[in-house]
Amino acid sequence: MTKLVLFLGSQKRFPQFLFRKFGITFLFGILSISSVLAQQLEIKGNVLEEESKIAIIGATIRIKGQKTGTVSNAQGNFQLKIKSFPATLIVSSVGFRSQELEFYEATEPITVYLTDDQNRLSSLVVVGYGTQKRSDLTGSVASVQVSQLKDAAPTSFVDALQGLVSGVQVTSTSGAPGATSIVRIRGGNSITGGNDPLYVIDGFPIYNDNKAGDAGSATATVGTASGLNPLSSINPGDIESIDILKDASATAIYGSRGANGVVIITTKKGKAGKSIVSYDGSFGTQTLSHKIDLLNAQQWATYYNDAQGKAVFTQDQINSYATNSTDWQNAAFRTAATQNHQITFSGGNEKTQFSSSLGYLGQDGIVINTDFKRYTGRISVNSKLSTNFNVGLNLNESYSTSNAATTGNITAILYMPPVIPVYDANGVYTLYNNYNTSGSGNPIAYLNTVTNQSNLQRTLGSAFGEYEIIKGLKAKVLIGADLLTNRQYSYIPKPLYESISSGGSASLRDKFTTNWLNENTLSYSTTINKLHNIDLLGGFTQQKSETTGNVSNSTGFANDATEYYDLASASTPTVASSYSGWTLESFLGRLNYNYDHKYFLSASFRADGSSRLGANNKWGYFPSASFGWQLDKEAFFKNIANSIKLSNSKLRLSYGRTGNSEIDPYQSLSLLSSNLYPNGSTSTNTGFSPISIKNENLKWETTDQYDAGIDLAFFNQRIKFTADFYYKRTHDLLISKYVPYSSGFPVSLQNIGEVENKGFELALNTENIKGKFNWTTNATFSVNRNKVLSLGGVDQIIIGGSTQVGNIIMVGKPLGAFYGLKTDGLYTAANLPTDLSTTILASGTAVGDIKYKDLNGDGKITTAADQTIIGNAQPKFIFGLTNTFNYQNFDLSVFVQGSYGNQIYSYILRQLQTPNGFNNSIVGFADHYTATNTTAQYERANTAINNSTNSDLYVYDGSYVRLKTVTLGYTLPKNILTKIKASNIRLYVSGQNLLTVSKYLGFDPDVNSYSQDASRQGVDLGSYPTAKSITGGVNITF
Amino acid sequence: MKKLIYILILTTTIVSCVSLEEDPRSKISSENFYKTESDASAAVTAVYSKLTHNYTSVAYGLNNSGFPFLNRTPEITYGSASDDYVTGPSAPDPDFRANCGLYTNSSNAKVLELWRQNWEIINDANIAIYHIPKITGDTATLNNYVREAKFLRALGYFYAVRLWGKIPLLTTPTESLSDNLTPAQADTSAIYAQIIKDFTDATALPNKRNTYHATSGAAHAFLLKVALTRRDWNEVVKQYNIINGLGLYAVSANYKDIFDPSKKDKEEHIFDAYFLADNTTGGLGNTNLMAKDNPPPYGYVKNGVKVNVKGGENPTANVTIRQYFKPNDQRTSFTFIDSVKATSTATTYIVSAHYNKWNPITWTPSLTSFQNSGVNIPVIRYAEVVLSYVEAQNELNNKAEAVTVFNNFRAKRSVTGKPLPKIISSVDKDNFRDSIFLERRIDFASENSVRWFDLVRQNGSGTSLIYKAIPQLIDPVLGNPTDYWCQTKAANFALSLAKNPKKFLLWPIPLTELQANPNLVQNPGWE
Repeated sequence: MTKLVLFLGSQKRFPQFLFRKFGITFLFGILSISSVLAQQLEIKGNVLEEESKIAIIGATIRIKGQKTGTVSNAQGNFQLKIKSFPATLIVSSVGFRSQELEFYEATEPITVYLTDDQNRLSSLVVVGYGTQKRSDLTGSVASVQVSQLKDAAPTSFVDALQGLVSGVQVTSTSGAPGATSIVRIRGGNSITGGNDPLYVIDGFPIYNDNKAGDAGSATATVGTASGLNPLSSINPGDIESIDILKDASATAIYGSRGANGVVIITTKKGKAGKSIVSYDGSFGTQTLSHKIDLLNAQQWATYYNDAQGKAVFTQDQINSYATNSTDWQNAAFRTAATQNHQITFSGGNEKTQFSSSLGYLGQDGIVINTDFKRYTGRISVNSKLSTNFNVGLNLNESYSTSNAATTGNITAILYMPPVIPVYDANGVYTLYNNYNTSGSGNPIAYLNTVTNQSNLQRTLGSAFGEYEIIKGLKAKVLIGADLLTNRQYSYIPKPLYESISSGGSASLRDKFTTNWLNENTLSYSTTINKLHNIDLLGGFTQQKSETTGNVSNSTGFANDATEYYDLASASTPTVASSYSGWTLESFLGRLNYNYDHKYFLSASFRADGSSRLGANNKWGYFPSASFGWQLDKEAFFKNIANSIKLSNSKLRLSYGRTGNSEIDPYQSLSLLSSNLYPNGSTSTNTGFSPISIKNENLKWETTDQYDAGIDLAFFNQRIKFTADFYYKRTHDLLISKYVPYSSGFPVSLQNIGEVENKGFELALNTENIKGKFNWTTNATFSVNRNKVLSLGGVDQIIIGGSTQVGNIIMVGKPLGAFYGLKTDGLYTAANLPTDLSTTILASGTAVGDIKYKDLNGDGKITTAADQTIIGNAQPKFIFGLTNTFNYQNFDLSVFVQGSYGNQIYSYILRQLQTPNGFNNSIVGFADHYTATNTTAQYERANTAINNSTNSDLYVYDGSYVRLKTVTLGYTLPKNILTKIKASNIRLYVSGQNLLTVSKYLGFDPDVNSYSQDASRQGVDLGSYPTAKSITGGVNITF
Repeated sequence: MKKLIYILILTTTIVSCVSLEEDPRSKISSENFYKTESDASAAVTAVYSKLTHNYTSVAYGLNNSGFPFLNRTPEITYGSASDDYVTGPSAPDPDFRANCGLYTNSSNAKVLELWRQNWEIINDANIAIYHIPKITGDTATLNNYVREAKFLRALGYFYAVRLWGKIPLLTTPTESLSDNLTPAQADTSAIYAQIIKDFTDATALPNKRNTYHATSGAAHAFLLKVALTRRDWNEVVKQYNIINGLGLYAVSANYKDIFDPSKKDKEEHIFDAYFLADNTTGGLGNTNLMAKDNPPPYGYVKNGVKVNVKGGENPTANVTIRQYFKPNDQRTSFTFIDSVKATSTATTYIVSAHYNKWNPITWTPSLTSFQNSGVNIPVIRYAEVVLSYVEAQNELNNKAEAVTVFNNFRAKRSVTGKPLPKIISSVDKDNFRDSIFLERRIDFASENSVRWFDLVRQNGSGTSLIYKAIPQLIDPVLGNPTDYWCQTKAANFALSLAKNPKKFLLWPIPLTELQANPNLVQNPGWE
């Protein structure tokens, strides 16, 4: 018995999942001995998982107040001697909520149902290179309730994180199928480096670079088609748990990649016991969640006449448009079907457990001729080869294929004047918008006839061996690979407007990324004098990534027959190829110590060597330390705690340093580029000269983060509350800086500048009603304030480029600030200046034009002197609220999520407010200034004034509240299940994005068109809109 | 313990299988270049390429790809400030207008780009000069590459010293941030000494013309031009005699031939910025942007199709120069276009005078674009050698020789039967000087390397910039003054002369550069 007790005690210091999976055999050995000794009163029973009614193996059954106990066997059965009655049995298992049962006499064998401990307070949390009991944590780690992922059937788990975790901001870049959202944990640290968290999938660290899913751009396309987000290749149905490491004490073990937080994803593992086959399937429909209100044909024709200053459309024509208006949005958007199927097969015995699945997701896009299909296969095997040697294998395979719309298609749908029909009188597509001097093609023709396909294959696999050298000391070697293959095809047929000058345009692009990982760790775990619990970890890891790509474009085809299959037949084929690679070597170490689970200390250290940095600074060093204090374990506090029904109270404090080196490779080198010079009159010579200046000192962006947190629980864990306050300061930002031109170079990437993020985040879980009717509430609330502290000598960096969208980086302001002129209504006869050269609109300015504010008071309105901060993409706070109800066999969950105080710079709405009448406009433009409508809201229509200035007119309130998910489920009663020999069947119907409350006039306030570019946040370029959807599905387990 | 040892062995074998050294593969890094003769050739070719192509701007998204160093940059910086140009009627670029209107300042983005390109050429030449001698190969070939690089470095410094006066004098390459990025300015005498040394070294190059390559004759021609700039008249005469002694050069009998892409490297050519007609539009390779820039304002009508709707931001020729062109001067009809004709309607549109010199349609009538004509831009040609010699002899009071050579030159430029009037030998020295400068102005019109620098040195004393007159332009159709920017040019010039006669003798050192390099001092008048 002493052995058993000792082992149970050690459960707390062993990495728990290892214990669960591999400690079982050992336990049974001991148990069988101890059961022979059983001669006293006995309780027999069976432990089952409540929902699936599957046996729980290895559940601990002990008597309250005593150290006596046992564990359930492979069938979930147990027997336990009792010295005397009454006795209170505590039944617990990792990942389940403990149950207390009182016995006054020996009874018949009992059945104990354990439910998933959704809040997982005492359960295991996956942290870097190991697991920890949540109660032992000193860092800030949030765990996502994966059950919430299941019914929403998202394309990617990333989308489902929105609002579920405090401190985590998720914004949508595009609603296109296969595109996914971006994640910011506690704000963005970096300006030009990456801001995305590190994803660790089954121990494999992946920095999600959208470029890996986008092999390059084709010629003659209309805008860009967003590539596939590599994270969409992970099937959310395969995910067992998601843990998000937020503070530096948790992330510093990931060193140079930890500054933006870490998202740890663990896929499903098999459990010993009965083999389980389950099927999850759903069908759904999606529709456009919000249409943009535009002028109809009559309104537009009237507007066009006003802009032209003459009656281009006669009144008869305008009248005829009453019944003859093209709604291009109706033509382009559709009700799209989705379906999702997954079969999971898992099981195993004490030695070997496995889990495998096959999945299919078919999702039509709400824009015609767009879709996303994903095929996934997964296998996970763990095996105990001998008493002290475990091996395991995880393999995730996926193939996704997507037909994409380009950004230009979406905007063209909005721009096309409603007087133009989709088809002309002969039934062929109208060619283009002939009212626009620069022309734009028929987007419906484009969407229907252009091929624009992207395929992504991903193999993510890892294998490990773990050997227990002496008791508590384990050596583990892991080898993994992440292989990504992206192939894109496109063909634009000759008859299209976009192909007129090119004569047919084909493109074939490939990108191959291989990413190899090797991790070697030693861990040691021990308890000294039953009070000092010590965990030690040390290791060496190395990772290598290589990407090769090629792009072949061809234009000028004789006909459309061969599309992209015969690029050589076109008149101008062009080819390009590329290579890039990086390596990372790391040494890591961690100490977790606690004294009687009352005082906690954790310290970690990582040294990272990155190929991407300068020769003098390849290595960076990232330490962290944190402290925890379980206040309620103190004698002096016990009475207070009892009196206020406080069942858990823990204080946490941490500091850590993390890094970021997400820059393209080779930036510290002096690279040469080729340039040509004519050699005579027919050929050219190739020269090579340096294009970049060497920076041997290029180093890490470094973030120092401080975190103070408190975990509280009341009423026997029925109310749980977590609050964290943090301060992050990032220095040595990687920014391109002007160097003196006398060097021969314009700029170089240097470590300059500082950014800070500070904020707090709250999470509240309550069980409001418990019993036959259950009601639980989970709430998250996050506040982050971001500020640029320094830009290395300059005050501001105005972000320019092909599309001026008004972003600025300014010292003292947050990243994502908008910059432009302020407006002050329209010019009236009274305030129109006599000297028109003082207005920014210059000659031709008239009454009814936009009046800008002269902020510096010099009597002139200029972009140089009168621009100011006109908005900010950063929200004041974000929140999520989930209410879950259970009554008998019904379950209902309602999830509301939102953002407050952020603004959107809507480039698309700016384009739809161009007063020249070349394109369609927002419906508000019907109320524009004319001689007879002098109190109009909008400026006068005219073709002369080129009003393309960034101003506050296009900054919109981006606050919203969204009914993100509502799910109603029904689990079939047991008597029916028994008849059909199923262990569980649940039917559900779920709705996503059903209702959004927002003042924003664009498609969706949850928008971030520039995706991973931190300097251009909160801009709406007119991305593929998000959908609302209704899904019905079934979960069946045999 | 045995197994522990196995594991440790396994671990250590896996250790260090990745390297932290970067291997770019698809790009060449400076570490693995400059090893062979062909690398040496490429290093020098790159410097030539920078004269006409603007790769760095494109790579860094500076949005300045439209004007390389000797291709269009002069036209929108110091060239437009000369009296060769006023901006087109609707030039939208404020920096361009400021240069043309003579109210520019040290924040001018176009001047900054000119400065940047100048230094890129100097640094690239320094890189070649530094690395090539370390290559093992045919010494004679490699030495010539170094000489060509020295020629180009001297060319770069010659432009820079004339534009900005005191500038840093760098003769070793800057390749790393750990090199000195904030050099101080050197005296112009030291800079000229380096220029003369480099050009002198380059005179050891072969004489024979070899497409774009610098030759011994080109080096001598620039030594002559340096001497002219420094008013070292005897040196001008000396270099003129050396150049004539080579027996390679002559004034072209047909002025048009100088620009004919099918007649490159003929008698009048000494050193050209090279282009290639490749029938493509745009791109980084071979666009003579001067050709793109000088279409008439009301649309170049060809086959009934207007090729270019407006003059846009393009510079137009100043009418004052148009009036100096005599009908019996063979340069007149080639240099200007005064009217365009719509072939479909046979309507003739009278336009204000525009430069026709670079018009590719002259040579390739099938073109529908003004680009890629393959017309070279002369950097120095024999006519300049001749006129410099005339100027030197006039200054040395050898008037007879000066007049003879000058009249011979004029005879070549005349249309047969109606020759241009001869200068008589009794002409007064100052008037003759004016005639020489006018002749230069006519012959080198819109060849940007000439007129601005002539304006700076015209009065000889170097105390102020000389404009003779900047009159209004009259719209040939409407009869109204159209040259809004020309008016400001005249007004601003008068203003700046009154305030600071030295202003514009040197251009401002760009503000960005002053901020990045605290060791620099701004030029007088621009503080």
